[in-house]
Amino acid sequence: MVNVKRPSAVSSTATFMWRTLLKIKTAPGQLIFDSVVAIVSMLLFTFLFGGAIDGSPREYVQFLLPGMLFMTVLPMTVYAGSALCKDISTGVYDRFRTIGFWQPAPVLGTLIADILKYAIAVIGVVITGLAIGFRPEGGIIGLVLGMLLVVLYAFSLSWVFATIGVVVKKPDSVAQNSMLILYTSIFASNIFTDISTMPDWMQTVVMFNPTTHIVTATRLLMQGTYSAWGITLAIIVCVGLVAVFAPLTFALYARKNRV
Amino acid sequence: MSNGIAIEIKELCKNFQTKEVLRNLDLIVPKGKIFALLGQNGAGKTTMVKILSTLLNFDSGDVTVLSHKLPKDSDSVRSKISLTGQYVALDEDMTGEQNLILISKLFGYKGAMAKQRAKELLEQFDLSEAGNKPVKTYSGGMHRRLDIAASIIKTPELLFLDEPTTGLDPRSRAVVWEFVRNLAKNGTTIFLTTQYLEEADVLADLIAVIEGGKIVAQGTAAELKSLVGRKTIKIRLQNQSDTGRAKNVVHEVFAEAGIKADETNALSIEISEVSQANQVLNELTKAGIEPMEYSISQASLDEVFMTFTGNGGQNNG
Repeated sequence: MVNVKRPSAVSSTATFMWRTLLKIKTAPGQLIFDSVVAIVSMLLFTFLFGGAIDGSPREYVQFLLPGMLFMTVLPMTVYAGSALCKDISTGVYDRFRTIGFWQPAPVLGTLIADILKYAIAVIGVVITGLAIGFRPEGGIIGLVLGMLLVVLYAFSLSWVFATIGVVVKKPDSVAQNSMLILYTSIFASNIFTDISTMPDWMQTVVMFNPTTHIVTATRLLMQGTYSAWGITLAIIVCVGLVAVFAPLTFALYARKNRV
Repeated sequence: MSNGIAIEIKELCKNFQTKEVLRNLDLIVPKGKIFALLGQNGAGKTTMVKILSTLLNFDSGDVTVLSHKLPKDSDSVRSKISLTGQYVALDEDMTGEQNLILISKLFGYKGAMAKQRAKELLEQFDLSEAGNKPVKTYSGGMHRRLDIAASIIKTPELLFLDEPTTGLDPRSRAVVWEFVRNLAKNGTTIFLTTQYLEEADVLADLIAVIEGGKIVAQGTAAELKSLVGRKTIKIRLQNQSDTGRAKNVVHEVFAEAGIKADETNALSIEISEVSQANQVLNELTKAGIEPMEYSISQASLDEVFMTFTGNGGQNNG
């Protein structure tokens, strides 16, 4: 008998990252579908509304693309929560819990691995954008930093849906329950239009939405006109989400079905 | 002191909201044995397994598993036990091999070692060919085999099997039984729950019957059968036409004996002493009725089960 030792927290988490990546590899359908939808939506929005909103599609895509990145990745942040819920609703979760590895690993590994999905989708949209005339004034550095910020926010927001995934009973209801949060955070924001064009009360609503601040910071990064405060605020929002929802998810996950 | 004891439970209570599931339950399971917990649906079998395998908290009582107190020493218990739950604990989207590699890694096997361990187990459980197919394409028996394989990646000191053969065909059931026996032979204590009496009878060294949240009977299969105390003499007659007359003869000797005639006209007569069997046979011969063959049997485990569970449980609890 080979003598095996309890795996470390890092290697347990890595194992769950491996599991999630393996699933992307064997069943890439969802990721491809999401990316295609994102690219098609961007083309539609650009050429449909471009003229009306900003005078021309080429003008509008400069404004739209950073927002479109959020439109693309935010719906994907629900998947990790669904995956957790699926484990809990089958016996897999019970098996994991009777093995003595570091117990937050399934949650953390799944959420970290999903970052790759966000990155792939973001890259797909950016390449399409560049092809139809998106020219970020912030240069390559501004563009890359902006993309990183989108991915960071997606990761942070996925903790909210992870919490929901651990609480609800069926994987299907994760998507249902997340819909309201998701659509409010996407549409009640400055993703599609400038906040100054909105009535005062709507501006107030939109400013309450954390997405707005991240979109603004991303836009400014890509335009090369960012302020230190804007970036700081964006990072505070991300860290805040993780700080609240990560411990909450871990605690709920550990307690699930225990009483 | 508790060297020979795998599980020790004292006055265990567990409620789900207002429903009492386990009531002051006491139980001792010795090490190295196959122990079967027998009970009807809803008797509390799965609740017991979940508590003992650290998955579920309990309200009161003392629970010691492999010399570690629960819930305080849950981590120590986890390092020594393994569980095959009632519901298949596999990732349906991954292949059989990937499932085993995943669990191997979580037990601490690294890269190539995990892969090798997965291959060994696939072979051992006759799943090598299906190893590269997604688990969702597996049959019920294959699911179960893979599930059990995952439970013994690292040989546990104590293995919980919650209804391991429910829904399996007889061949797959035999494979599981054979595997359980081998594992016990190598020193693993087996704690299995079942609602199949036959399974407890052929497999278990020790059986406990759970009913209404309590252990109502405990012992080896033979001990439990003798507890019930009834014996049956079964007689097949030379001439089937004598059945009615034979019944009358037996009634004259044992007025209160239960007599049943089955579809082949074989008579089953309940007796309390073996000597009474001779008396029955003598009386029949005297009346000119020739028995063709006869046999004396102990109470079956079915009868034990019926005696101790349902309404019978209240008399004995």
